Amino acid sequence: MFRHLLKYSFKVYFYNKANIMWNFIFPFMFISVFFLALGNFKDPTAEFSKDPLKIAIIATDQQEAENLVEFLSHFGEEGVLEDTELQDTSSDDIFLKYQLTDTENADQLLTDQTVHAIVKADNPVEILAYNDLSKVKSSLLNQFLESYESVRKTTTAIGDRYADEKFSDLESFGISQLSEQDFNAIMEQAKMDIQAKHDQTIDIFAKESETTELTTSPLLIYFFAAIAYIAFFPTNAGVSTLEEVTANQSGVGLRNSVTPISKTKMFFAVFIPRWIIHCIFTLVIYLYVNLLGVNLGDNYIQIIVLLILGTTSAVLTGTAIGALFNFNTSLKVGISIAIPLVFGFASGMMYNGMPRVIAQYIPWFNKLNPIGIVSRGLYMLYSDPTFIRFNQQVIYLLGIIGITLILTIFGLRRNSYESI
Amino acid sequence: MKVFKLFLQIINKHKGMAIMYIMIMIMIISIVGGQVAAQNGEFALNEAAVAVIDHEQSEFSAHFKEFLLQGNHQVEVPDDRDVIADKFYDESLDYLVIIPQDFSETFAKDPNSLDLQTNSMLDQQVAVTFENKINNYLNIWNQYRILYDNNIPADKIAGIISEVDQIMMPSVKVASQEKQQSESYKMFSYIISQINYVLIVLGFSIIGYSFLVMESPLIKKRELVSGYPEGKRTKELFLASFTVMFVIWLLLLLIALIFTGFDNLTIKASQFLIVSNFVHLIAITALVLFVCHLYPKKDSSSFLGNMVGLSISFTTGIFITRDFLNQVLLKISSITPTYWDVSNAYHVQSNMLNKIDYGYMLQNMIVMLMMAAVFILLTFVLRRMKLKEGV
Repeated sequence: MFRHLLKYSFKVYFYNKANIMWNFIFPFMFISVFFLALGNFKDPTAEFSKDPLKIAIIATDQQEAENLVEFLSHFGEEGVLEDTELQDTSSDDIFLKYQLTDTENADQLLTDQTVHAIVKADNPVEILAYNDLSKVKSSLLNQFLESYESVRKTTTAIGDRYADEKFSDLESFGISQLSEQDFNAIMEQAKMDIQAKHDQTIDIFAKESETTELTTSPLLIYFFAAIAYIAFFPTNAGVSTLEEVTANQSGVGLRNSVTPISKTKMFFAVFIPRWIIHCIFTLVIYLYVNLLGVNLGDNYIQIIVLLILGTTSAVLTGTAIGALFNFNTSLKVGISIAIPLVFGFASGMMYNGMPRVIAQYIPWFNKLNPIGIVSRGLYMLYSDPTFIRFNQQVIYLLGIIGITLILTIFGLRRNSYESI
Repeated sequence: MKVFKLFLQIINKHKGMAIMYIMIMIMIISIVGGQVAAQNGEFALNEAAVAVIDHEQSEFSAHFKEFLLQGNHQVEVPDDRDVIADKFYDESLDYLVIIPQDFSETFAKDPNSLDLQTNSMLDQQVAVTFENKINNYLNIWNQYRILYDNNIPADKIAGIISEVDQIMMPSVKVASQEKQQSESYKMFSYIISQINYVLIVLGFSIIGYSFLVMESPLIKKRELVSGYPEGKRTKELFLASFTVMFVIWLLLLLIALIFTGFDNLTIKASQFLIVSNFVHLIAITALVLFVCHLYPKKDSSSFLGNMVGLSISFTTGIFITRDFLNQVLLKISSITPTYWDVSNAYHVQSNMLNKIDYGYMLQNMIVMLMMAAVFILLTFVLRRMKLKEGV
């Protein structure tokens, strides 16, 4: 009898086209849109070589302008009008293009949207105006100019100190004995020394950055949360399972409840097929993500276990909601959609800084959030060589599964109907 | 106004779902808004959780620590590999720096051989940002090291620290006009674009659902049989849908203003954004009604809202900045009204107040209005077709 019910439940599920549409097509579409939308995250700087930041530089003092141009030449190249040549000749290191010009022409370039900003080479540097300067470009421009300012300020500060030190030495010899020619020679030497000092730069991460393997693009962080969201998406399948076995929730439930089969048996007969189908759906989506070229790590077995546990906790969360609350069906469906959405948001699916905010203000929520647990589990599998922390996440998920199963059974058993 | 009242009664009957969705969305806006507003009034979202373990405890290392923590959230951790790893995996730590005991000594000998232990979360961008920050800082100190022949006298450290503070202090001037105006209008433009996601989800989940309940044959036939004209019924249904959406929008707008300041109401750019968002509201409500006629399954309205909301938000630049979005997909997303409203928000974010092209914003609003008109027109065509078919 149980086998017959299982077979019957499988068929019923597939006959309902809406089930297939929302539980399989939606995750498939979502992952595709997600992947296409975030495609550029693989290499965020590549976008700048195609569309570099363009600035017009104006100056009242020619020396200031030359200094700024010389500094910026390390990050970009001169000329803002050669758009067509840019794509052929520029390397990936070109972040900006600049043009030294006069005020009138700069204004015209800005009005024509040929440049994003007008920078006045002065002490300090001033961004006079900007137009169509995105947040990322604005932050980049600010970084370049602040770096230039810090180099200038360092040069001045060091120069002053150098001069102080030299003159304090000279005082002991008696500065009055110094000829003008000697003084100029000292100052020239000082200038050359300061220049030499600026040429000596240090980079303590030079070796590391070549060999870093574990760091990666933010795309992966988003994807961990997205695939965890997909694994937890079928909460609704749990809600509809309960609908079909509880007499006061649907016509099918009413019919099933009068059959001479125990409620628990009926529950498992409806639950198991859905659980299996959704686990398979989740694994197909995981396979699809791999085919898209997003590598979530090489621990395939562990990833599969984690995703299956995520899906199991989702379906059982749905059954617990269905068994415990006597809301109308539409509200239950609403809840079953809202819960993954909130958990997904808290796990960084929409804004990757969110898990840190949650960890800072409501750390307990991170431990109860199944999407966060799956997402963190994927992160651990990707970067932690031991499985200790991963196992901990599995235990958390098993805990959630156990609690939701108990709540479901408890909710199922306590129902009694005087009349329906 | 019988149909209008009945529509509101249905909304009232399903107020549990409406309240739940509204609360969730308010929570999302509040958290995101709180993050923007927490950055000293600046439009930035880059605060990181940083831990610095200082084993040297010198003036130099203390200043280095202070510099690293500036503008970031400090996390206290002991120098224990497992505890630190736990913090990283808990996602409560973004970057860690361990300053060794011989920090000053090694720095004096050869800064490039400094054994500064650093660790970062998986996000490469966080690591790169901090590596640049550390290199910049050490390069400045390196100039002083060379000046004093690799041995900075102890009595000079305090003076150098104050000079380094001066050097590291932001000094690039931004046009004077910007200085006078706070950046609140940019924050406002950011948050108001987040409202769009909320409106799409709520539109389908609440309005779409209630509308489809009203359109169920049982209720529709009952009203038509009772002599209520179809035209009047349609008008009232549409009016009720727009009214409810408008109330929800007002509530969300109020939250946005609470986070960014009511002075935004006096800034022309923000006023335009409000009008643009209102036009978007009309277009989205029209889209919801059109889709409800195209796919009249009331049990699917929540799913549909979820799918459409997420897809539109990811492709139009609500969740991810447009700088990193796939440009082809972005172009495709221009078939949705949301693209045009988000474009207006981006335009305000990326321009000085006096460079904002209000003509451009107006143009985008007209596109949205045209879209709304097309959606409404198509909805009427569908209704008429269904009426002829007797559905």
